[in-house]
Amino acid sequence: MRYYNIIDWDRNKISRVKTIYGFRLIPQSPLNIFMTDSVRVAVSHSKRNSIIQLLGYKPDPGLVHRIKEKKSYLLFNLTDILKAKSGSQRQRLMLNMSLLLKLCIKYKANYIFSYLTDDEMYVRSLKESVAILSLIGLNEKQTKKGFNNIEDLLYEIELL
Amino acid sequence: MLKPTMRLKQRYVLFKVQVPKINHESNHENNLSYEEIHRLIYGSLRSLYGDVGVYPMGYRIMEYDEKTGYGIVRFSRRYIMEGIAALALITERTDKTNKTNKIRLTCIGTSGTIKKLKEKYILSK
Repeated sequence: MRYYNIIDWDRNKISRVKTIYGFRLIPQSPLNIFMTDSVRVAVSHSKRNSIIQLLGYKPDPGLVHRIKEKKSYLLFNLTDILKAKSGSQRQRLMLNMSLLLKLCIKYKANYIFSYLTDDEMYVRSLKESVAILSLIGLNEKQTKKGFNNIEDLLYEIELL
Repeated sequence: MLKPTMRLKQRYVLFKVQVPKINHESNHENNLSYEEIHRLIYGSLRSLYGDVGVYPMGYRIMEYDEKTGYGIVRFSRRYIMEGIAALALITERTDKTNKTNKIRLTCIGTSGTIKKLKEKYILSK
């Protein structure tokens, strides 16, 4: 099983380093990730093969249902947990992520984990990711699935 | 005397301190001391789990080499994932001049004994 990580580096850097900490690196630019903090906007933009990152990760069953229906993907940026400035900010983020992930698992919606960052220092290995995500109630299998889910999309848009 | 089945089981985690390459060349202060590494790990554990959450984890730094940046930390077997998560969530440190620098504690491997950990991950390289 291959694990993928979407990153925000410049293309020249990616051509040199293709795998890091067990993850195959995928550049952000050809994927067209839609970022928003509004659930309503996210629902309206969920189309087939689109990737949506809901900033703040507000848990909403309607959005998750729509993502399942349209076969789009919900992105969880794990760098947000690492970059949280205070404990209160981190706990709020982790609670929202946990509730949103539970909905994704319940409705069988596609979810993707990634360290969407331009800095290598904020990328963690798969084992560390499993440990971090175990804090928000995910087991090893669910975490690995989150890092592997993007493979179908990559084949479909001919990036692999 | 406690039966072996009742004894607290422990796991040892080998970690390596990593700092950005640019800083590493220019600044030799990046070699963290034992006290500093203890403060970072304990701070992360306390921030995540609180005082009551930390004490059953059996946390202790067994070894730390300031020159190479390799260290071994001990956790109770039951709380090994929580321990690794706390190590992974360390992202920055504050030096003596109150300047924050990026830092990364990479978890290299885990084992039930220190000897096996060294054989498996350090001596094999």
